[in-house]
Amino acid sequence: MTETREMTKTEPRAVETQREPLFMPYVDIYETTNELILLADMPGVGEGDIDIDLEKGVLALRGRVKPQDMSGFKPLLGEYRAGDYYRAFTLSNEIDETRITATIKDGVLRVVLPKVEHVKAKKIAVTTG
Amino acid sequence: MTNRSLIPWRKRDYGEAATPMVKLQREMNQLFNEFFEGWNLPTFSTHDVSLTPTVDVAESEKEVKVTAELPGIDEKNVDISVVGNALTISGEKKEEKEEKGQTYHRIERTYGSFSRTVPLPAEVDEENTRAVYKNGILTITLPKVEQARRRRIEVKTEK
Repeated sequence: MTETREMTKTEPRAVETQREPLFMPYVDIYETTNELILLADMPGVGEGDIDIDLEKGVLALRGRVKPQDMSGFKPLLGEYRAGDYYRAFTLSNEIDETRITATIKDGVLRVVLPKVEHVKAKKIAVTTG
Repeated sequence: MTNRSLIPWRKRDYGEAATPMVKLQREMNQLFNEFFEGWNLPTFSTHDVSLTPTVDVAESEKEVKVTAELPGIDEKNVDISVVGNALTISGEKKEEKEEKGQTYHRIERTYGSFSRTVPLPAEVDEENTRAVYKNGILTITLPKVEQARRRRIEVKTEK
C-alpha cells in the first residue's frame, strides 16, 4: 500500500465548501499474515463522521470534525485547530477490496484490509517420494 | 505538487516543551523529510519528539474548560489532578498488541507516557471537576470557586 502522492481530483461542490483546514492524520500501517491494518488518529471524529471511498484502487479516508460548542467561553489557549482529516492511499491488487472493514473508537480509525486468497503465504508440504 | 505539501501538517505548539533543542530536532527532521520525499521510504517522524497532548483552554464566567486531543487511549490510564492553579493530565497510551510476525509499513502515531500541566486562569473547585472522554478528546470542566468569579461592581454617582 503506497500513499497517493498526487492530489486526488476533487470536483468543486456547490453545497459543500471547505472552510476549515484539512489535516493529514497520523497513521500506522502494519501487515499480518492475512491482512493489512491501518490505524489513523482522528481526534474529534465519531461514528458517522467518517467517509471511506474506494475508487480505482485509491482508498480515501475523510473524517469530519464537529466543532465543540464553546458559546459563552472565551478562548485562552488554543493549540489545536478543529478541521477535517483527509488522507489517501493507493492499494495494491493484493488487497481484497470487497472485504475491507472499518471501525472508529476513541478517535482512532481502524481499517482492516484483507489480502486476496492467492497472496497469502502458503506452506507447501514436502513429501518424500 | 505532492499531497503532503498541499495538506497542512498539524501545527503543534508544544508550549513550554518547545526548547531550542526540540525545535532544532524538528527542523532537522523536516529537512530530512523534504530530502527523502518521494523515495517511498518511511519518514522521519517530525512529531514524536514529545507525546505531549495539545490542549485548548477556555473560560466562561463560571467555568474553565480544558480540552485535550488524546486519540486512542484507555480512560482508565488517564490521571487528572489539580494542584493550586495548575491542572495536570498524565497517562499512558498503549500500543495495540496484535499477533506475532507483523510487519510495520508505517509508524507515525506515538505511544508511551505523557504528562501535561496547564496553568488555570482562576481558582477552581476540584471536588466538582468533571472529565469526559469522547471520540479521542478529553474535556475537563472545572467550576470556578465563588471568590474567583468576576463580579461587577456598580459605580454609583453621588449627587
